Amino acid sequence: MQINFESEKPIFIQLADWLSDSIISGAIKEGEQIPSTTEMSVQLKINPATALKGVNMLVDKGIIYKKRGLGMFVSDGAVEKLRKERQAEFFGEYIKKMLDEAAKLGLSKKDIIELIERG
Amino acid sequence: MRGIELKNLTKYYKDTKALEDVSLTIEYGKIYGLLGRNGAGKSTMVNLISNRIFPTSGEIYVDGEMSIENDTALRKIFTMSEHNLLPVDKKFKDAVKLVKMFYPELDEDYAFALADKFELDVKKKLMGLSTGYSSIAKLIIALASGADYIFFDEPVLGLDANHRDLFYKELIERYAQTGSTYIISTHLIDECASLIEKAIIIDKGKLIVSKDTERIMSDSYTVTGAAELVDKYTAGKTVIGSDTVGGIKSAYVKGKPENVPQGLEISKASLQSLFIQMTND
Amino acid sequence: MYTKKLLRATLNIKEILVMALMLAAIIAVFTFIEFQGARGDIDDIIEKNSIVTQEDLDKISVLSPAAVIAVFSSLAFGMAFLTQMTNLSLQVNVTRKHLYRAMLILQSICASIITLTVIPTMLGTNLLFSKFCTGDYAGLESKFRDAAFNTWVFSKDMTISSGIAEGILVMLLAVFVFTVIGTLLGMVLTRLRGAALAAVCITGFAIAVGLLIMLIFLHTRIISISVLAGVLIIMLIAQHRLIKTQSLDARTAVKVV
Repeated sequence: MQINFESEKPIFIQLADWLSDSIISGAIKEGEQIPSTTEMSVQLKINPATALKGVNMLVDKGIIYKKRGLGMFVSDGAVEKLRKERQAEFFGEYIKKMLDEAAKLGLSKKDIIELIERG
Repeated sequence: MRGIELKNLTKYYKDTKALEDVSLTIEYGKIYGLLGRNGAGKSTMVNLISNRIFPTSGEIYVDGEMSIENDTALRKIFTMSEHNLLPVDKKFKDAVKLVKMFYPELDEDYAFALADKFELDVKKKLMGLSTGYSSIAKLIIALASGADYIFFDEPVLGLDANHRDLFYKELIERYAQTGSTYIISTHLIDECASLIEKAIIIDKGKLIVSKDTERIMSDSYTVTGAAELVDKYTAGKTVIGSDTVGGIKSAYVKGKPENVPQGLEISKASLQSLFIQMTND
Repeated sequence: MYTKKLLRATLNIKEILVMALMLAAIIAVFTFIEFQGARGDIDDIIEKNSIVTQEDLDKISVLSPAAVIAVFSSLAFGMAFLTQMTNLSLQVNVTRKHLYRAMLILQSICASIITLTVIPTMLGTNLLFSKFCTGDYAGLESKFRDAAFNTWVFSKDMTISSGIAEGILVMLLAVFVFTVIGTLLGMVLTRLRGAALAAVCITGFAIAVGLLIMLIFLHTRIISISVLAGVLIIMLIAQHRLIKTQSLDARTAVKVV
């Protein structure tokens, strides 16, 4: 994983997103341990406090939980939770942006649907 | 109160104001970036805190105690700078032992393990090291010192890209292990922007800002587009600075973007570009 | 505690012993050569002249090149050690108090080495002249005694015990001068700003030089030596008090003196 330092998104959110992606895709399964904040911060060359912030965000959402002395693990049902969250964001993140871009390019709704069927 | 506190710190060299009325706090256990242009006063500040030079006026407190000529307070501080102050005829491994005489918490094993990672020959005399390896030797000793407050004054001077990368990684790892306070004084702002939790920016001897890096960056944004459009948008807003290339202008604006018209792009302001704008004449 | 550590870190006992032994050997050799040469000179003087003049005596060197070597080598080593020690103290955050104490001790060691190497020279010279007054050259002492023997503080009695006494005096002088010069130069070399000892040392150095000149021209040994001893004591007290107060500005330094 690479941090995009140019991006609008704060680093800790990028980290949280990457972890979420890994969980949804099954790269890290429910019940499995996630890399330690130290590991992640060393790999990405970011401040450990930032890494911790990203992880804590997911802990607050119930995606990850801490096992005292052992580390951090993916909660059961995390995948479902994330999917629901992402679905809710889907419209704002992708659809609206697509519609804006289409408007810029002068594409009609019919054109868009054709393109979707093509893909 | 754990931390280093500077109160109205001023340093004059004859008539030159190296540091003027600087007051700030360095909290224990965080990674700080001390950023400033050449001659801004960063090294002066580090040297004052390390008791290498004395202030014209003002006070320095380390964990609540006045630190000037105070052995117990100064024990908590280790400084690595461009000056080679260790006996140059000593081999690296002997230099490590020498420092340990004064900093009993120094972790020798860690120092030698690091030397191995950097491929530094511990049997080599300090004077036989290249500029790059001289810096490496110093930063290894600094990281291993076990001090509560470790100052790195331009630590990556002469280091190639691989070694710089390795240094940052080792710094983070060591920080995660020990939780000491690291203060990195540097010009290479973008390289360490993601590393530093707090940034202290000095310009012409004065303190410009001392804040969380994230807040400095989230406090402002960049708006780019055709020059007239940008000017129209930024009218009435606090503009820190701007760059113009051809007809395209990038303005660095304080606050949050609002009602951004079509044709203008909003992006994050990098710490380096903010820094340049804040410290330009 | 830090004073000891600074000294241990800077001084390598082996190195110093080797250096001292080497110097002692060089000086012993030179002194012996000088001794032989001087005997030859004295024989020439006795054979050629019936009246011995000051110039004749001056030809017999008092301060052998060996002593000069000793002085300059110790000076060089001393400066190197002082610089190294000061730099080290800056790196390991040891306060000035410990550094100055260590500097004083270091300089005393250097001064002692110098003196120890100068004593054989003087002893040799004195032994040589005591030979004039006995044995081979008995009866000729009046020829030498008439000429003023105004180099340094050498005794007209020309005996071994006075040679030792002179040696001790030279040691005191050396300690004083080197404490003063050494501390000053060490601090200047390593850019210690605000060090009040510099102000004190410059004054002390000037006084020492002035006194030495007086000594050479006045020949009134007792007075000059007492004044010298007096200044030495004042300087050492002043430095000791400065170290105690850890004062670092010139005004306080002058007040203390």
